[in-house]
This record gives sequence, structure tokens and C-alpha cells, in this order.
Amino acid sequence: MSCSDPRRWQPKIALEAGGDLPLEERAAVSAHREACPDCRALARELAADRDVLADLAAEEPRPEAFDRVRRAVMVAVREEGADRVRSGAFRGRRLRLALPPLAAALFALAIGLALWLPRPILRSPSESPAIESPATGGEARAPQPAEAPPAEPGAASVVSEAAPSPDRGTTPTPAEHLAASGPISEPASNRIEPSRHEPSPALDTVPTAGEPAITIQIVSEDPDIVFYWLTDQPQEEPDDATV
Amino acid sequence: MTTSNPAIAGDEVSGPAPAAPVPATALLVRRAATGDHDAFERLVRSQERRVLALAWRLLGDRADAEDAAQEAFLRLYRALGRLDPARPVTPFLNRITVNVCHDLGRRRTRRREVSLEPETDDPGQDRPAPRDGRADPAADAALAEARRLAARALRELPFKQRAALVLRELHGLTTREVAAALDATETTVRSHVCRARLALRDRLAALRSGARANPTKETP
Repeated sequence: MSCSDPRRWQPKIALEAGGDLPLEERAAVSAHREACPDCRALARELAADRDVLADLAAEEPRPEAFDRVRRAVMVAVREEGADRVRSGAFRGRRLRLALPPLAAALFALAIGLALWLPRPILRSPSESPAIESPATGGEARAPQPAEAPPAEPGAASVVSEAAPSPDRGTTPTPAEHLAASGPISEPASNRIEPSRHEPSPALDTVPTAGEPAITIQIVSEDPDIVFYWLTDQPQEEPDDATV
Repeated sequence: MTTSNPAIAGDEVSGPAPAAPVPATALLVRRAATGDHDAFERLVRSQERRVLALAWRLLGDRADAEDAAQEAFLRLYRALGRLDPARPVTPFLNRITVNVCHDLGRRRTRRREVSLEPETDDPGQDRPAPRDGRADPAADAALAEARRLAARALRELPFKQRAALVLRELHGLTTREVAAALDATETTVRSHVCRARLALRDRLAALRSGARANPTKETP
């Protein structure tokens, strides 16, 4: 006896074979299968085919196939990963990760530049050489010690002749040492603005009364840099700030 | 039917010879997404058995399966940034593998149509020896023949039916998981599986009768 409606029952028998039949249909299909020899035979054949498939599932690719695939994948991934890094595919994540150290590095760099770039420069307050050497001292604007009155206190920018003092013997003063090394040429941007800074009180009390006034200033482009004065007696503010 | 194959049992599957226990897949996905190649390699190790076996069963050819597995992992790598690490990677990888095999199978069919190259069917070369170590040569030969015919019958199914049957029967996925892998509804998957079982039965019957009629010649 053949199945009365194979187009209806065969798909249900096929689903039943794999446990895919909805719960509400199972009883009806099971009853038909028990009553239909064709559907019973179909169910047996399907069960045998599933056993063959299960046996097929037990097979695996050879282990060397895994190694080949993995190696090829990783080679491609490393190449592609490098390209992606270059093209910025990972940029967002990497930037997020790198931001704190990058900020710290930039901060350290800024501090280093601030400390290094405005290096102090020995500079005369006048546009002429800071300290005239004795051989060329005739060009100095400051009066000669023998002729001029004593230097007035506060003459910050006046550079007087660095005549050797008999009290100091042969030991050169810093100004003399500088004078011996010749005039210092500096770019115009490094010119001093003497009236903006007060002399250092500590350095302003060098007890060398009676000697010509000698002033040494350390200047830089940065107005915040302190100017150090070395003077032997109180001086007055000059009329011309850039004498 | 659920298989006892450990390669398809769960999400945390080790490779053939893992050097260390594989951490959670989610962690590997997260680390790989940041460009950690070692993490991605471990992710590949944890999934390679499943992917390669699926590709092999869908394509029926060792070289094509390796190509498909490589492409599937590369697509996974490219999609890492879009993956949700909290979700398992296996369904996504199943879907990628099915799509890659579908594309590769179509290209291969087109190529063979153009070149009139006969389709290869060499299970003795493509398929490894049985793992059960039986010593009966006759039984081994019968088993190898049954596998060869089953593999061939499987390969002759339409791709969607084949994919549904392989995922359901050989990889033990639920109907819902198969539906996710195939981007189809569960009803469609049941239809594919049902038709595939019936078609496989017919193909196997034809192949067996052809093999009995002419045991020395390849059946068409």
C-alpha cells in the first residue's frame, strides 16, 4: 500500500527524522508513519542517511591545513594591519591610548624649550660695545674717570671705562675681563631695555667706592629674565635710557 | 542530530595544539580590535577547526576550503571594529563562512563552465583516514566509499539546502542558529532542511545504484 498523500507526508517525515517537526504535529505524523509502509521506509532511509552524514561529520581537515590557513591569515593580517595603521583605521583607538603620554611629552618639551631658548646674553645697555676695551675706549660715551664727575647713582645703562683700580692690583674685574675679550655683538632683537628692571639689591652693594662705575647686564629677548647689575657705587637713573 | 565532534560543540574551541588555554573569545575580540595580532591569532586558533570544517563540507574541496577559511578570517579581521565583544563571535563567523563559500562556489562553477574542466572528486586525497583506527580493510573501504558518495551527494545539493543541512546535521546548530547564519527565517530553514534531506536520499540512492552497476567507473 503506497502513501495516500506523499507530497503532504514526506516533508513531515523528513522533518521528523531530524527532530525539526513542530510539537503540535508530531503526534499526527507519528500516527501516519506507523500506518503507512512507504513513510516507514522513508523514515528508515532518512535515518540511515543521517548516520552517513554523522560519519562524515567525524572527519576533520588535516592538522597541517589549520597551520597553513592560520599562517596565511596572519601574514595577510599583519600586512593589512600595517596598511590600516598607516591609513588611520586604528587611529582613533591608538590616539585615545596615546593621548596621556603624548600630552606629557608635549608638556615636557614645552618646559624644555622655555628653559633653553631664551638663553641669557651678556649685553651692554647701549648700542655701542658693552664695555670698551682700553685700547678703543675713546668711543665710550661715559666721561673719563679723571675728568668726569663721579658716576651718578642709578646710571643703569651707562658703561664707564673699566680702568684698572690701584686698590685691586692686577686682578681684573669681570668688566675688565669682558673688555679684554672685545666688544660683544648681538642682534638688534637682543637689545636691552634697562629702565624696565631694577638693579639687584644684593649685587648693588659692592663696596668699591671711588672707582669708576662699571655695570654689567645680562639681557635676553625675554622681558621676564632678571637683569643682574654689578656696580661699585650707587648710580642714578640716566637721562637717556639707552646710552 | 547533534554531533559529538568537539570542534563544533561550543564557542571556546581550541585549535589542534593550543599552546595555552584560550581566554574568553570576547576578550580576544576586544584585544584584536585594538590591533593586537597575537590576540587575533589566538582567536583564529579557537575558531579555525569549525571554520575550515564548515568550508570543507560546503565546498567539498580541500584547497577551496582553505581559501574560503582564509577569506572568512580576513573578513572577520576587517569587521573587528564593528563587532560587539559582548556577543559570541561564532554566529558571525558562521555567516561569513557561508557567504564566502557561496561566493567562492559560484566563481568556481563559472570558471569550470568556461573551461569545461571536470569537477574533481577525489575523497582519497581530500579526506583524511578515519580516526577510529579500525583494522578491517573491507570495512574501511566500505566506509570510505559511503563517505565519498555522501560527500558527493551533499555537494550536488543546491547551496542553500546544502548549507542548511550541513549546519543543522553536521555542525549541530539549532534551527534558529542556522537561520542566523543563512540570514533567513526559521521557516525557510526548515524548508531547506526538509528538501535537502529528501534530495540527499534520492542522490545517494542514485549514486549507490550507479556504483553497484559500474563499480570501476565514476558515476555521473
